Amino acid sequence: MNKKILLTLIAVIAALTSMAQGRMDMCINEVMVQNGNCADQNGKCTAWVELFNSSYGTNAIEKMFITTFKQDYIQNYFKDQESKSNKKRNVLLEELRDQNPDKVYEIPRGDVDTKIKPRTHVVFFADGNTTAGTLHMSFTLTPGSENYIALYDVNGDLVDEVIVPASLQAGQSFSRKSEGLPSDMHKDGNHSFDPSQWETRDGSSVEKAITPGKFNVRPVNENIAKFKNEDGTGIWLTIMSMGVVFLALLLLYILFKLFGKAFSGQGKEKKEEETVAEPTAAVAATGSDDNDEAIAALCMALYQHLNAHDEESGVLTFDHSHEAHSAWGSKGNLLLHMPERHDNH
Amino acid sequence: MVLLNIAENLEQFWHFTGFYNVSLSPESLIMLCVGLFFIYLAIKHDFEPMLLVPIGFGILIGNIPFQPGNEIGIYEEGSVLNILYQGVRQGWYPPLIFLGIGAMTDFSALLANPKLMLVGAAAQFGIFGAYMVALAMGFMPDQAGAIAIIGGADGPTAIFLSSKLAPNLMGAIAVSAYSYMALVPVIQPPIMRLLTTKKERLIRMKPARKVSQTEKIIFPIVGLILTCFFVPSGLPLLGMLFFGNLLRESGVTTRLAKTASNAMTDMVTIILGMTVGASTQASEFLTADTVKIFALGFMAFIIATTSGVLFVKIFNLILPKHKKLNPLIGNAGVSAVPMAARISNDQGLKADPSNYLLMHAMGPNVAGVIGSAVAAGVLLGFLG
Repeated sequence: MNKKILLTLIAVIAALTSMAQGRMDMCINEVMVQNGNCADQNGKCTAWVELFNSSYGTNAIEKMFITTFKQDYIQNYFKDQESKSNKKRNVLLEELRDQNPDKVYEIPRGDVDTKIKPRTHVVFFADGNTTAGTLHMSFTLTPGSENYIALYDVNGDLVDEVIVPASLQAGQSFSRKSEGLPSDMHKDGNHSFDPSQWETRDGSSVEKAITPGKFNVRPVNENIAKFKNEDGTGIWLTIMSMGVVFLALLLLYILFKLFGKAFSGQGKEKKEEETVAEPTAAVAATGSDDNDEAIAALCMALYQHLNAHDEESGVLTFDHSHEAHSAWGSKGNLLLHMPERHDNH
Repeated sequence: MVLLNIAENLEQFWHFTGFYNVSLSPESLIMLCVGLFFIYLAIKHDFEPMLLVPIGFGILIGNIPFQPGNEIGIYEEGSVLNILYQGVRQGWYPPLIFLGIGAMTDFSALLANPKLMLVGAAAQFGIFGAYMVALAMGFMPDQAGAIAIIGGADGPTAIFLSSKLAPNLMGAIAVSAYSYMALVPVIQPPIMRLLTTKKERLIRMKPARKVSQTEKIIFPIVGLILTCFFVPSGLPLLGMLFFGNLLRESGVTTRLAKTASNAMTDMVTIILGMTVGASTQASEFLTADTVKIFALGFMAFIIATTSGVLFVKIFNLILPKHKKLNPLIGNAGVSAVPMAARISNDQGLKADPSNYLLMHAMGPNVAGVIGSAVAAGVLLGFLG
């Protein structure tokens, strides 16, 4: 019973952990406040917020929250409400959404657009048009002033935030310099805004391209480019790789050398005990009785005691007799045998 | 009017047939001959029949000319062959084969004499030697890495890595790897004889100690943790290999081990061999790159065999007299289980009819399987 409870607990913890990890891989990737050229399905150019799934698995972002309320406000709201009731944070965020639909947008459930494939983007339009579909948020952004946007997960925990500067002009976007969150931010869970990771883009060059729904930086396999340029002969890769292969197998060698010594040492000790025990018993046997039958019985007992007998499987089987079956009752007799090749030597 | 309709229908049917379409792609006839040759080698000369029969027949399947657009071909989305091919394309089959290999392999020979692991490591130089030559021949680093893995003499590993690094070359790489594995008895012995003296071939190795069951159980667990901490990119292969071995050695999952090593491996081998063969369509396969890949694969096998044998000779310089290794087991480091170990044994018996090297050679042989999977992980880590 305890085992079952333990296994269930492990399964639940594993499921929760994986879920939380997945959501944390979402991030805000690019924002445009005064849109001049990226039209939605109705042909309207409104402000937009691009999210990016930086993980290598599909993320369902339904029930996540996008808000323009600052982090301090939300935290204070949580503290205030939690002192009054024991409501969970996602419930509190839902209540906040109901009170301030022009500031909090909850991504609806059940839309295929909310299943974000690995390493892909999704663009939400900040047009306040709640009847236009899942990708249209209930709030708008304000041109010419600072815009704060935050992404909260289904549990009400902050996933990512950005402060779009007031200086952002029409036709400019505020974008991450490279795709997704820096790897160290994934680990420590610190998703607070870091201005050094962001830049203003105006579409004047490839580097400054405005890229809703696409990669901010054209993906290149840096490793291949690096090895092609810096290790044209392949000698360094060879040295490094052989080093790793040797090191891995060398460590295995050392470990199993030690294991071998340890286990053969145990065997030796056992053997010594056995060899010590044997003559004493033999002397005892010969000393007490010279009878041949007694000696034989003692030897047999010792033989069994030292576990020197053959191991039996202990499995009883029946030997089927094929002759008893007729061709009518046995499929094996009806089918042809598989052809086998016999070499003529 | 009716006659005209019949004529039109017959003409339409004619355009649908292989006889008409072969005139549009006559090179498929060459591939059909290659397929027939593989089947001949397998049945007549017993060259890796378990692999060459499915691959050879797959080549026939993949090169029957047809009119595209009917969801028939292996590259046509939605076709049955295409669905089966996804296991190769996405790299699902090789780890399953490794599960079976793990469940079949007895690592006792290696555990009894763990220094043989280093021989398995040394033979992986075949991979990286071929990598350097491939770069010199103008291949990109990722393509060179995918081609070089042929030197590991391990078909599933070659398919796994090429599906990740150079999917367009996978057919040629897989066929090359399996072809040379079948030709190991032809390629290796001359190199082994050339690199060893009569005296070295006569070296008798110390009989292996008995390995306890506990050691055998610990090995897959420690082996997995250690190797995959070094190369997590090798996890699909190494994870399945060691998992299969634990199923075998634990003693409590005999039924699972039997299924993994027999029924499952057989099923995956059939589908893998057939789809790899079918993927070698003439338009993809008959290129100058394929010729280069075959040349590089041959070179990789030679380098791997040479480095394994030479390593044992060098290793002998530091080993005490009673612990010296017979250099004839060096070739077995190229995995190709158990063919390479059998060759060591055959060559040993030729030099001394009472010197059986088979069990000694199984050590580097199974170490080669681990070594080539680690090498694939390293290449994937650097170039993936």
